[in-house]
Amino acid sequence: MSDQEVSVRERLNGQVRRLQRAAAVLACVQYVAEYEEDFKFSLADAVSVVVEMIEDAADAVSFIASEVADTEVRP
Amino acid sequence: MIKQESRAYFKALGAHVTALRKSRGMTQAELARAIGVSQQAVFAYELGERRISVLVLAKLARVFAISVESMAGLSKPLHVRKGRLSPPLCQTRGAVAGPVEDSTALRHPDHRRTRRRQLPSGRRAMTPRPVTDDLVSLQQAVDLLKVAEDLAQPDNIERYPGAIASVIRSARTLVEEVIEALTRTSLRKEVATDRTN
Repeated sequence: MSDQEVSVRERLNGQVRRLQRAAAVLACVQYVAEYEEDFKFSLADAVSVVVEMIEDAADAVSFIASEVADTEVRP
Repeated sequence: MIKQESRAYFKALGAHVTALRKSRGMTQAELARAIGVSQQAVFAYELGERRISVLVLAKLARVFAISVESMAGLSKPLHVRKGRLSPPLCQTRGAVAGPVEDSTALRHPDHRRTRRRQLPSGRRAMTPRPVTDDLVSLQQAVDLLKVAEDLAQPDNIERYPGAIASVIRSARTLVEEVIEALTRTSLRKEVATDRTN
């Protein structure tokens, strides 16, 4: 595997870890939404944090995908 | 009262709403709260016994994180293969819950993915899902979470308590699917490398 492929895989793994973190936070937020009446007024803030996490990871994955596509198109 | 010529459309639209609601793991009551109508209204929409207004259609599209065009069944028609989906495939996100031929009046872009997965040869089922699908799923998750964020505002939070958790659950499912897909992509690269070496 070329250095570039290794780099792509590592970067992709990095984004997977970020998404796993976002999913873990989301699981906590979901738990709070389902069971914890007292914390519901901070739910919107918690959700917006997760939105940022997912959007950042999605941007990075999109960038990696576009880079790979760009390389494949080049002769 | 729905006119005879509109009945087939609203019946198909109702079936579409049912399939989308179930694919998001929502109950009729939760959907009703999310779009601000009674549970009876959702029941009537799903049976095709009540017209779905443009306003409600827009709200449904927002809750399901799809375009109004897809919601209304105005997307580009696809050739739909006849045949029944196996039960697990019926439960696939975005898939039609029931025989494919029932959905001819309303075709959703996600059907393309369902068709690819239902092929018996198994060869296409192993075809890696493109990263663009993952990005679309992430965008849908973000859209859903924005709906949840709106619902969780102090003014709304008491009105839609069950819907918030339900919308968050749907978003979480989408994110987890993407994680799984990206992990498989990464693993495939490693296996391919090992075989080459």
